[in-house]
Amino acid sequence: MMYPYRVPRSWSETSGQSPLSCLSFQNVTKTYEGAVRALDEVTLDLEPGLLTVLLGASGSGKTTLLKTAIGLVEPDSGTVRIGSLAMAGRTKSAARRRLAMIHQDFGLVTRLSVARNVMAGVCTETSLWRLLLQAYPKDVQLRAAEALFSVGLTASQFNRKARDLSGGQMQRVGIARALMRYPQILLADEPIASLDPAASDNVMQILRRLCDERGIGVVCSLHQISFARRYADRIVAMRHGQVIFDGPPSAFSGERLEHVFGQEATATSTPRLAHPVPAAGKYMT
Amino acid sequence: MKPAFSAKSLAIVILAFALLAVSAKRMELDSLAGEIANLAGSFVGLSETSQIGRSVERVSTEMFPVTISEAKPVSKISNFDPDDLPLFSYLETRNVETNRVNSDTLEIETVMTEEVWLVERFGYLTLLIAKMIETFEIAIWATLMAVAASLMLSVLAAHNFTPHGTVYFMTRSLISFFRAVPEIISALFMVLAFGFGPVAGILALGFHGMGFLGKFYAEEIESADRKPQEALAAMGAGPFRILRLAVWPQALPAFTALSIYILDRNVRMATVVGLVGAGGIGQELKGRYDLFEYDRVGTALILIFITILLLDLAAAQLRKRLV
Repeated sequence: MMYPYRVPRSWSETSGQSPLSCLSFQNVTKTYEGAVRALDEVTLDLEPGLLTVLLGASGSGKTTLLKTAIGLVEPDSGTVRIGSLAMAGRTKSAARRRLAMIHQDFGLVTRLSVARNVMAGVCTETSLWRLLLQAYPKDVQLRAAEALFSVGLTASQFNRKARDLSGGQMQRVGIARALMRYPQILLADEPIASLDPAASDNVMQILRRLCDERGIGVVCSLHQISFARRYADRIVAMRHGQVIFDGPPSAFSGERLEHVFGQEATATSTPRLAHPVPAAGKYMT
Repeated sequence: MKPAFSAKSLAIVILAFALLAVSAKRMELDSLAGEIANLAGSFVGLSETSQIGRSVERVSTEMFPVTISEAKPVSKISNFDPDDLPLFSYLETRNVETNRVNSDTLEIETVMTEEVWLVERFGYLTLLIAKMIETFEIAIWATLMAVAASLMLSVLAAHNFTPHGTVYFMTRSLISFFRAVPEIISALFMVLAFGFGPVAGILALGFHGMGFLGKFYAEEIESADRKPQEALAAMGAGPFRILRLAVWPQALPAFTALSIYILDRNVRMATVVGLVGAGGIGQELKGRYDLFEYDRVGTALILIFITILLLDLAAAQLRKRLV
């Protein structure tokens, strides 16, 4: 695939010196109605080429952080920037073009074919008339095919209805749709929460590969500690809307895990998991 | 053990029966029961005849056999050419009684004259089929009008896409108004405004269809899965793009089923609005009924029945393919 970016990169190489845009949160605060403070003065720089895992219990602010990043949620105060572009005002749409998002529930239109779901990834750049008639240009069709091949789907699956795919395949279609936008940062909101362990592993491998081979920054919220440890370059742990840990997986100790998830983590060794991860306990040493 | 019926439920049942008994008296169901008993008695020979029996007998003897042919005197056909008769027609000489004044006695006398008539074997049936096609056309145009208008109205009437609360309220009110006015009443007004004919029927059915489809389309838009919509919103897609890419594909099966139902209903209702002069077979039916030509009324009713039956089958097939 002719991807506009390079690059295999490493943690040390990229840290703070990326030629691609960095996603920055500066004192971002968001309070929902009912006085639930979802984000509390969050300041964070998320770099391209790295797989950053957001860890935290439900309600810790992970999803709000991702939604704020892509402009679905307006912060009460603070700024979100991608490179030099603020995710607000006149630069919002330009900033958004550098980002893409994948979702826990895939966000696919299940009655449409796989290919049409993927091509919808460039809907904002496609004219209304073309969208109305669902007549995508040839280059978009080719781009969609490349994106689908790159996530391991075969040509025979392109014209199948999305509803006929397995959960893992649907999430791969979601990733392909995101890749249509050539994102510099890919936001993944609990992408494996509804998948079985094998499909989860497959999706995480793809995300890892996107970081390594294309230099895309992946920011992925997870509940599964084992996947975070296996795939992340960096773990950002949140609790009550605040960042309480930011560092490499090796520094994320068992005490920190307990701090992030509370007593639940030590009691069950599967802190709020969508499905059990057998290795969760062994990191708590 | 708890009894199957408590005293409370028993009291409710007794109260319901008492209310039904009062209502039945008000609705004159007692006289209906009497008439039915009379009819049953006449069948087994207990009573001579009943009012229901007499009415049914009269209508059925006048209605059947139904008339499918049409005959008119040749003298009333302009430019008649006996060598070029219409298909399935023949000439017949009939003895016709005519009254005329005898110029000698100055008295009115009845004389028998011979007159040549053109009989078209399927003349009336052909006329009715043409009227039925007109009815069908009214239904199709009314459905198209309702679908096109409802697609626009429903977006404004869906709370997740309406541009403003006031627009939502006004659109919902308009849709409710269209639905609240029965077709037959709006057809009466349309006939006043546009005169007798199909236009009045199309508008009457179209407005009522908008009231129905606008509401149900809007509810389909509101209940469409939000996840794909949010995924597109995250890309920066506006309402039109979200509607086209995320809502429309989800709502299409329901839209299709609802529109087919409205077409089916419009064909039936086009017959009814025809009764007040809004074109189609209904207008013909009402005219013949007023002239006590029950044999022709019978033909029209049978044709309507067959059409509705065929339409039901076609609608079921269409639904199966599209939904």
